[in-house]
Amino acid sequence: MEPNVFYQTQAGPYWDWKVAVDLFFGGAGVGAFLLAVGLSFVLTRGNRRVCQTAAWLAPILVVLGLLFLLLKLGRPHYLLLTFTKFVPTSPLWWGGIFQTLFVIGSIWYALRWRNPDSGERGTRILGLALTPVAVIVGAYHGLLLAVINARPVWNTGPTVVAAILGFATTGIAAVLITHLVRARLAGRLADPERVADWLDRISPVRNILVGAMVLQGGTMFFWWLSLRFGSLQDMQALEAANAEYGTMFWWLGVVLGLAVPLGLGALAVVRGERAHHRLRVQTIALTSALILIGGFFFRLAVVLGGQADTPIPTLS
Amino acid sequence: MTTYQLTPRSADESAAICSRRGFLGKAAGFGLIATATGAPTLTYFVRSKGAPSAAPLGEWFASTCQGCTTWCPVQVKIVDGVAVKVRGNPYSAANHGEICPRPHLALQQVYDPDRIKVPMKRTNPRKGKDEDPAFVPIGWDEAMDLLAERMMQLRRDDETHKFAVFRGRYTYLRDVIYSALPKIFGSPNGISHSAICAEAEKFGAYCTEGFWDYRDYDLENTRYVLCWGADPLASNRQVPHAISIWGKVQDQAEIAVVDPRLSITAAKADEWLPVMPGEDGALAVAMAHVILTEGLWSREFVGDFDQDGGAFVAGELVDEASFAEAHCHGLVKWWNLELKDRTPEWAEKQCGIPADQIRRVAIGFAKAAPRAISWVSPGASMQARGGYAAMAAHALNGLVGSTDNLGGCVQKTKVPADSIPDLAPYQDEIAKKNSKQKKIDQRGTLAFPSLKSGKSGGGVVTNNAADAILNGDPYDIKVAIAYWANFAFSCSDTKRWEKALAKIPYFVHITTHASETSHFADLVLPAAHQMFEKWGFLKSKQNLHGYSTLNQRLIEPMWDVKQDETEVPWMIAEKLAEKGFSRLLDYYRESFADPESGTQPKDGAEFSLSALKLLTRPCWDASHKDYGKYGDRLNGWKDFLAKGVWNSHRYEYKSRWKKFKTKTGKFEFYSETLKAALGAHAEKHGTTVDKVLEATNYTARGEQAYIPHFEPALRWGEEGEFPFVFVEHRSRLNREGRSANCTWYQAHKNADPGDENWADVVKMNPVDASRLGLKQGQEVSVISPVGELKATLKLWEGVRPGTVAKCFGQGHWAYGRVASLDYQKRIPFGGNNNQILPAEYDRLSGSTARHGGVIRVKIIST
Amino acid sequence: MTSKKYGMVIDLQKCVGCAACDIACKSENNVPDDFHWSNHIIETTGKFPDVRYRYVPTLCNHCENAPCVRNCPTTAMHKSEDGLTLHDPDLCIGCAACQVSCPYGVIYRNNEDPHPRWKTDETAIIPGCTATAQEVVKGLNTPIPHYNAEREATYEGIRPKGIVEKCTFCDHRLAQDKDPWCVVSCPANARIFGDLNDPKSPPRRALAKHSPRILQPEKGTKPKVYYIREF
Repeated sequence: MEPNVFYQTQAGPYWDWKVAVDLFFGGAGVGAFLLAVGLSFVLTRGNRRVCQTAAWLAPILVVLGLLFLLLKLGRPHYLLLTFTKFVPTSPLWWGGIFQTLFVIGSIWYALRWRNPDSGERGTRILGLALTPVAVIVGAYHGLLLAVINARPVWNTGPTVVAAILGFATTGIAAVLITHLVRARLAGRLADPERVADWLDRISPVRNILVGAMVLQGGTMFFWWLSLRFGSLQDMQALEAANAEYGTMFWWLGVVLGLAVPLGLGALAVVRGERAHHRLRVQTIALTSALILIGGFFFRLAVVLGGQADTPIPTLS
Repeated sequence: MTTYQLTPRSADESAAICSRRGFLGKAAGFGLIATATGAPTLTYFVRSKGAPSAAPLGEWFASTCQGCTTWCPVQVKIVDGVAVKVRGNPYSAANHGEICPRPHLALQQVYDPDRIKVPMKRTNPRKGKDEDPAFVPIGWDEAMDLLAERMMQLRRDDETHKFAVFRGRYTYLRDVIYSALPKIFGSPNGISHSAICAEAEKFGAYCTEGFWDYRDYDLENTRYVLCWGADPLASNRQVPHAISIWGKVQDQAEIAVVDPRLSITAAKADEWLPVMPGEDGALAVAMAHVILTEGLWSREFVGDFDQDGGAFVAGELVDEASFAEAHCHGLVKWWNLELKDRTPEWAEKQCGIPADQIRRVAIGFAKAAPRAISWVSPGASMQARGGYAAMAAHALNGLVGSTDNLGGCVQKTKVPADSIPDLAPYQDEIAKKNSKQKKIDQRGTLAFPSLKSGKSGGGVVTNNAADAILNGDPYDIKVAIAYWANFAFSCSDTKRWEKALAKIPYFVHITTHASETSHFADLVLPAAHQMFEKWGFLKSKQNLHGYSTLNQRLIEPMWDVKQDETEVPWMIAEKLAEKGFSRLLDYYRESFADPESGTQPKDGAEFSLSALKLLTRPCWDASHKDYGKYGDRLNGWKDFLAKGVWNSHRYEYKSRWKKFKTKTGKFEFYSETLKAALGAHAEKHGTTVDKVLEATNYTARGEQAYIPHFEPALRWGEEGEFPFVFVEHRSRLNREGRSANCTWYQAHKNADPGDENWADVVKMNPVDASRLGLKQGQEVSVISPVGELKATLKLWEGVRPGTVAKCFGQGHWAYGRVASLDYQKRIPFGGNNNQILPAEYDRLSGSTARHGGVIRVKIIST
Repeated sequence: MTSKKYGMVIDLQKCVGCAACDIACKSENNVPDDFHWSNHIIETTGKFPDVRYRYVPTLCNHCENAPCVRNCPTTAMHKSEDGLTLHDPDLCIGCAACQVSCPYGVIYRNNEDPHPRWKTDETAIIPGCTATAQEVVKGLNTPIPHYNAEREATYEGIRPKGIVEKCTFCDHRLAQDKDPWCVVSCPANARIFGDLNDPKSPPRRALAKHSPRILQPEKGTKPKVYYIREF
């Protein structure tokens, strides 16, 4: 017999789409930054325009995310209080502190990239120095949700891993698509030769992206597994999240944001140089766009779905 | 302005009863003039974090909650002239300082922005539900002038009996307006609400033990509580005491609840007997059958067979002479006439309760006796023909000797109060003559015996007054005043009242809120709130203590409101005097001198206080003959004001056993008392008792009329068209149908089992809903042969399939903007049960039949 | 013993589910109508006529291991010396981290101005004859009618838009050595309140006598509101 339980609390979700936007932009920003740092060691000095794009994109995205976070606060003007306190138990506190540090650091880093050829030693060292901050910010985006044991959907290890992988995929996708726009505006995609050259230069990026997506898919699977075969509350929470946001999660987040781009990416790797340049550019644009769209809806579904109405626990 | 002297009880909330620090010192000077003389300090939004233990603010004063008819002594905290919160009055032996949720809601009533501020005059002469009355504000003087002019016209035309006072809820200052005003003016028509309340329940105790009143219950010592529709944890008539002791009762006693709906008391009971509505009588006689056949009756109270081996055997007659009765009368007659065939198996078919459960409960009840309570409530008695069910269920107390006994069902202690002074000397010829005219409600006519206290026409037939007015039978009502009453909402088949009120040429309504009844008024007069703004007193009982408790004016009203029972009649009297009829004012002035100072009242405010002091004298005035005789010896008037309550001694068991006020002086299973009353009524109409029974819609004939017996449920509507039997019930948040405009009421409505917050639900068993394809939460129409209402569908297992249940209290199309969906368009929020209930009666008691599944309904999705 | 550890034991047998606690709490703490610092879970199980109805009063559990405190980025949500879980409105940024962290749904956020009816409403249902909300509060000189200014001693009297609010065990009353108002207002005396550090305190004795239960023990929050016996 299905129990008929009522408990009238404040209607959720308490964290709405603005939190998902914050996570999305913040994650992408961190991803972009780490990409810039990584590529600055791999690419030759002359080919570092993509590093420049990534370095500039990072603070812009993170600031955008922060803006949405501020919008979400009941009293945004009180935010500075965060900096006067020491609350190591609160991911939000870490987030506040380290996102601010990261914004300052990444702007500094971006400024050093005014000239694409300027990625010399100092810049690379600065990038390395900021990397832990970036990783903390990235992890924060997952930990923020993962520490909340009142929400079983969030309260898992894969939440953190998925967040980290999420910043990798969306960050790279954001860099790719921005860089593509930038290259086109600069006329670097005008003739096939230059396109081929351009594609060559970003191919490591593409490969990292495909790898991250594979890992991301695996993480999601483990996430699902841990809930589906977890405690009763885990199962109920998964069921509730699925009921309300399952379509968004599976179709927009997984299929559109992961499976399709992965397919396209795999195709591109297989076909390699044989494909037409133009098609390859379009594929990159499409894949990146899908990853970004999927990445956003994935987060939205997780943020909202984690707060979906589960059966009310009462005294047993 | 008038300043009222108030005596704070104690400044310290946690101070126990014995602590009187602080209050003596302040007694002299404290008055509620702060709001009028100067702005209180603006304290809010200023937090004093540095001083975490800020001193308590304000002081506590006593008053009385009239949210239900328990009438609990309460205390109100007043800070800078504002009522801030409420609690029970710790001086009260009856509720021992506990209160139910209702008094809290009163805070929202008194400060309700939808209250009427000033007298309002109707400017649209057309009256009807769909007419906008177009009320405009006027002053009290003009209002009184308009009313007095109409009243003087009645005197000039020698038809003063066509004046009526309709009374709803009241304090015991009621007789000032309800009795003295019409009688000195010259009308018999004080028409009370009593018959829509619970008179049928009193009928049962009256016919068996000569007690026309509510009983009290010795919960502290009981071992079995058998509730007949009673829901003491939620409603009438001793809610806080019942709540506070129920945990103990559960430990020491079995609890069985007969109720078609899973009430909160049923939910916490050991046995729930979800009887078919209106078949309580079948269940009660079957239990009596079991008690007798099992040999479990009380030998001490009832008596025994003369010789060993005598027994009650199902289906077999017993020789009356073989049984020697002790304190009862007519047991064997009862058995032979009714009980011998009333087996549990027979009852199961009638009432839907399994025979083994009937047997189990009856045996459990009888074995616990005399510490056993058969608790009769309106639910099991305010039914068509319900008087006999009340009689049968109450008779169980006699059968097991638990009446007037330890742990059982007892009567009441005396709460002394004086009556209003003799008014006869103030009646002139017109008054003497016309106040002897027939009353408007047709009480005492063949079809309305209304046998209150055994007298034909002894009680009111409230709801029939509407039909009488509409039919002009016995005459027309030309001027009427209703106070603290909302008959257009609270009487079943409300549309009759809408028409009747519209028909009255000059109708005046005294009320706190513009209610459904106000809508038909020519004049609406703003009333003081009973708990905070008004003087008065109540007599009631709980926990084996009777008490007298004060209503006090604790705050200076924000609006130009007057006290309905004293100030308004005083002003009417003044106006009548101005216009040449001074007898009422003379009576009020000369007869209600302050008992302490001897000075005559000069205005309505003084009159209120002097009348109160006069009537409550036995409680506080050492010079009164009854002072200290029955309970507390209060130290003068100030002490009474400070404590707010006078407590009687505790009830003494078995004090009535040898002197029941019945014809025989015994507990009557064969009611000679009822026989005499019915006989007198038949004789008055020159007919037989059988003809009376026919005219009043009972099935019994002959001797059966005088015994507690089974009467089949009477229902309006054909089962084919109206498949559901309608069950109406009460809310633990209802302040008698007046709290639906409180947001706290709406925000906590799901405290009534099965109900939901901010909704008015009709509850249906899921089995029925799935059969009809109806869904949880959808809006439905509930349609009866009489009317229709809209409600939200709630699927709930706490109702019997084939029935639907709905709480009374919502569905106001007036009253205020929370209670109604759209006040201006007269669209109710939810639905008023009285729109679908028929004007049906238990005619022997005159009661309105609202329970017992008196109506069938159909449920249609909208 | 220096510091206290306040806790509450709710006797479900005594509780009759009347909601007096809920309403009294609104009165004491000036809580908006649809915020329920004091609240209840209701449950109907079984099929007619074997139906069971249960009522579990809820309020802030003042958890020893409070997730709202852990996750608050500004220490607005904090533990007091007496074991209370309190909220400092001056530090609250309204991030709702406490709200999402609380497994019991006892924290409410003022997404809008609280008590809006009393802020602006100047309409009367019968103009000139009935009152308006503005008239009432201006006449009383209070922000809402029956406003309890004692609440201001330790908290905002009314919590403004943007921040959260919750049950404080009536810390302003505790400071005056008085029980929380829901405890006083419970007509069934079902709420047993006191210092859990004191082995002789009423709640400690009740805990020793019965087998107490807590809500969602698996969350590891260590609530200080316990339940005994059955409704």
